[in-house]
Amino acid sequence: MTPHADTETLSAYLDGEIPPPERARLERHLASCAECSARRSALEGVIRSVRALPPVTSTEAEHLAMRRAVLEAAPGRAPFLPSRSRSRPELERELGRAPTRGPAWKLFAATAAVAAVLAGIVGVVVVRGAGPNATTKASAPAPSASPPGPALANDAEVRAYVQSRPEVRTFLGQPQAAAGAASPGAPAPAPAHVPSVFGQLTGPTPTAPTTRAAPNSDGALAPPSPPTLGSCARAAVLEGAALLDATAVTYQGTPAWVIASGAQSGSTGPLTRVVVDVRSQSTCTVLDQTTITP
Amino acid sequence: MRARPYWPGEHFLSRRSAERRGTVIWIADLEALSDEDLVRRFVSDGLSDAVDVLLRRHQDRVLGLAYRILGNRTDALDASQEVFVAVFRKAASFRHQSAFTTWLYRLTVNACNDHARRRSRLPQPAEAVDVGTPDDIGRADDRLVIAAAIARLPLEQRTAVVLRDLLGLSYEEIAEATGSAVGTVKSRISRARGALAGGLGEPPQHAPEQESEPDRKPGKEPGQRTARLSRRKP
Repeated sequence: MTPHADTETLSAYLDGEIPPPERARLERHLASCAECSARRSALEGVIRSVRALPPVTSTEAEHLAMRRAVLEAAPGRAPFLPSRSRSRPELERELGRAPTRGPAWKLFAATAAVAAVLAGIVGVVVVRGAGPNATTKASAPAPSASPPGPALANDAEVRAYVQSRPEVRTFLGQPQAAAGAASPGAPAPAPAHVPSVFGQLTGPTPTAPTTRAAPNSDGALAPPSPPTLGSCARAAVLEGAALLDATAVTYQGTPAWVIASGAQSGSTGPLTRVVVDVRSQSTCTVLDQTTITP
Repeated sequence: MRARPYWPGEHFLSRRSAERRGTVIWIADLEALSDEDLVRRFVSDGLSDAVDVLLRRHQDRVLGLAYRILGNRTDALDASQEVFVAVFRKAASFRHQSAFTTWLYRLTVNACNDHARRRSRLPQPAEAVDVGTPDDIGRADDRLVIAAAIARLPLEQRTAVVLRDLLGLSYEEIAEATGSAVGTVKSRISRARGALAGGLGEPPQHAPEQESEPDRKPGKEPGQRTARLSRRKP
């Protein structure tokens, strides 16, 4: 009987990367050896499931950002050419028209006219903006910066809510960047620790402000802003575990994220699967938490 | 795209003079141009529509590769952007010995390795999610397990298996894209698949000698793995 095939040979065989004589020998062996054909089927299953992963597609905005980056990085661009960077709809609309273009001087004249008008507008704005009106405006907090008022206005209410519904694990969203944006009339109670079942974050987050609701400098919890899905998912990762995958699903009819985490190495180790409700405006609600053993 | 004539310097030169030089191109023809010609059209003629066509042709595969290697969408987008900037910047350094796509994937793998080395961010699931068709949770479980298992593979194995099974490259192309020997590629792919299959045992008898990776020093990989883990700690 011919010798058994090792995983490397089987894997290369499935990729068609085995030279013909060896291939024929291997096929003869596989026909007679149940063990090796079982391992071949296991490998085939792996290949199938990797291929079945959903494709990653870029959005139109991402495409345009990439395009802009390429155009901006290009050396020695003529000043006119960046004006040609249009979005695809614009481009198509334009190309749909008759492909006519006036002589160069018309373009110059039009550009100059637009520039002159713009200069006028900017000048007016600068002049008017320099008045005393502008300084008072600048110091006032921008009303649009704070999120739409959540149902739970202050941290006391949030704590009461959490305690009243222990089965619902809630997680506060990002704190406001400006401490002054906290509801001015509300009293500032002692910093309360909202119990979290999720433990600490698994690592530093240098780019973003901390996603955990932290007491502000004046001791008050910032009003919960709509949580980013990133903050929810980061919160769903247990201490010491790495976030491994996340995907959008419908869970019992509600849109949710399924977040998988586990130890970084060891492909067969258990996974923690957390389902997070994404409809809520102010909290991340964990609908389900399961451990999967692959 | 609809037909529209373009010629370098169209704002300054008349179409007739461009026709005399033979530099007029119809925008609709861009789709039919090869990747190299598109790059040339942009680099030497300044035709930004060529960038558009090339990006649409390749950006999803580059992004998908980077996403599976890096595990989060933000880093993957950064890496893809670097790749395409480099494509047009380093167009002169492209050697025509290999296919353009192989060169493109090589740039992607290098960019991803750079990102993985100086990874400062946690995986960011919000961006990592493919907001495709919302799925039934049961069906999501299968792909969640395999996606998580891929994320847990060592970087080189993950790269090799993604290039093979998601992008369909041959071993030789993968060797070129990752800058390693074909034997190494073969071994990495088989180890990755073995791990994904839940640790396939080797046959009991007539077991061949240990799988070897020619260009890797012994003990290098575990070191890298611990280094990556320790960086994750706060």
